[in-house]
Amino acid sequence: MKRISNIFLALVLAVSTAALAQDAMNKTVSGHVISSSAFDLAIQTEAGTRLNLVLDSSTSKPAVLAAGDQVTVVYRTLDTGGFQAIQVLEGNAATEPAKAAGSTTRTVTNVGSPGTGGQTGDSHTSSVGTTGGYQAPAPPTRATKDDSSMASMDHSMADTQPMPRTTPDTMDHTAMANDSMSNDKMANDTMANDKMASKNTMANDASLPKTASREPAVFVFGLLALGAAALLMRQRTTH
Amino acid sequence: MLNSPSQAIRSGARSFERALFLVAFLALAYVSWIEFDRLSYQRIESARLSSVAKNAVSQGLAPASRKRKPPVASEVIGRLTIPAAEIDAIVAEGVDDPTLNRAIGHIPNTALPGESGNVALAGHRDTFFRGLAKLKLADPIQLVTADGTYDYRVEDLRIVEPTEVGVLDPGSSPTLTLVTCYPFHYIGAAPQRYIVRAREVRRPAAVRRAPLAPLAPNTDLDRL
Repeated sequence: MKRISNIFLALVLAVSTAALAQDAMNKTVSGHVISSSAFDLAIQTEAGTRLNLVLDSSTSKPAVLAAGDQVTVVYRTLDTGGFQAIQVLEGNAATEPAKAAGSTTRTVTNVGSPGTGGQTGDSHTSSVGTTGGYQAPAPPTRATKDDSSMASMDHSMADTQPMPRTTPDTMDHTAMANDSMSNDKMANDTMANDKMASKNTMANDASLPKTASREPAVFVFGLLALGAAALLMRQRTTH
Repeated sequence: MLNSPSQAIRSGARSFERALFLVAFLALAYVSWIEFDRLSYQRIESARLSSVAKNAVSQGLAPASRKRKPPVASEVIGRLTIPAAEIDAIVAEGVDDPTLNRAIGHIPNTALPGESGNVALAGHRDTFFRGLAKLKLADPIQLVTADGTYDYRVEDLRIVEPTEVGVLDPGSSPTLTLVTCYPFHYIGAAPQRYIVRAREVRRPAAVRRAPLAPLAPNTDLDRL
């Protein structure tokens, strides 16, 4: 009996620990910075794919993140399907690059998010898909469009996106703009390829926020445990 | 050392009983803590929001004259009031677990009150949005912010699959979309979503006079 109760207790603890740990799973990825702002960071992973991450005030990061910098990012997946950076480290300190690369089919979400339209290309290193507005990830609305249209949208954006903050009045600026545009095109080609390759995965990932709290389940569980304990105590005291 | 099998059984039952009591205590303490935290947060932030709104009025700050900044995670955006559904709760930025435990969450990257577009809010169906089931077409909804009060009227109620994220798309006029899980009486992750869409019918006079400027990219993160 004691053995059974121990096993039961271990199971209860294991299940609750697993449930609590589910949301706390962080991933690590390393790559090169494509663009960064106060609110987001786009990196090219070692697997060659683009990863858009959200930054907020709690994100630990170096003071300056320049395009091309090698970084290692610890991040978590948000309920909305985006990715939030928890820590950004300079250099390649990734412990699980292969694992992180495995998440490449879930990377692209921040294309032309509402409320931030027209705010791309804030610096010459920015690329299409870098949002300069809200700190949060792009809503799943864009990720659920038909993938072929998404791919074509990316290509058309790459082809037509002007460089809003680039002033072509000097040769240097023009050269920078050209380099930047070609980089943008490459990045967007990668994005489009990723999207097409991850057609099914993206459709599955894009969803409305989960709005079920744990409380009712925990409350019912607690009541059941209390009832069972009371029943056991009654049995024990009556016999 | 146990002398007989019956003693061993009794001892085991006692251990099991204690374990169950402990689990029950922990579970109920957790729920109580979450509830206490939610009520405290709501009370404190409601008072703070009222104070900010009063200060803004007393200092004569029109919304357009204030520097608009993107909300940071968990920043208070306003208070949602729906008399027909007995809902009166603070709205904060984000839809992560901690935020939704304490407040109604503003879905990131959707419009903010005062902007054209779709202001999308999500809430737990078993806490803040429990009353959404009572809502009918044309019921009024108010969103109180530091800029003033935005009035909406319910124009659509529907049940969708979680993947139907098109409900968050902006329409031709300013709208408010409320999202919660469906069915309402369901334990665990519900399979569908209940959507309430409301059209803006009135906005604060100051905002009408001076529409808010669009957000500037890459502004700093200090709060309003």
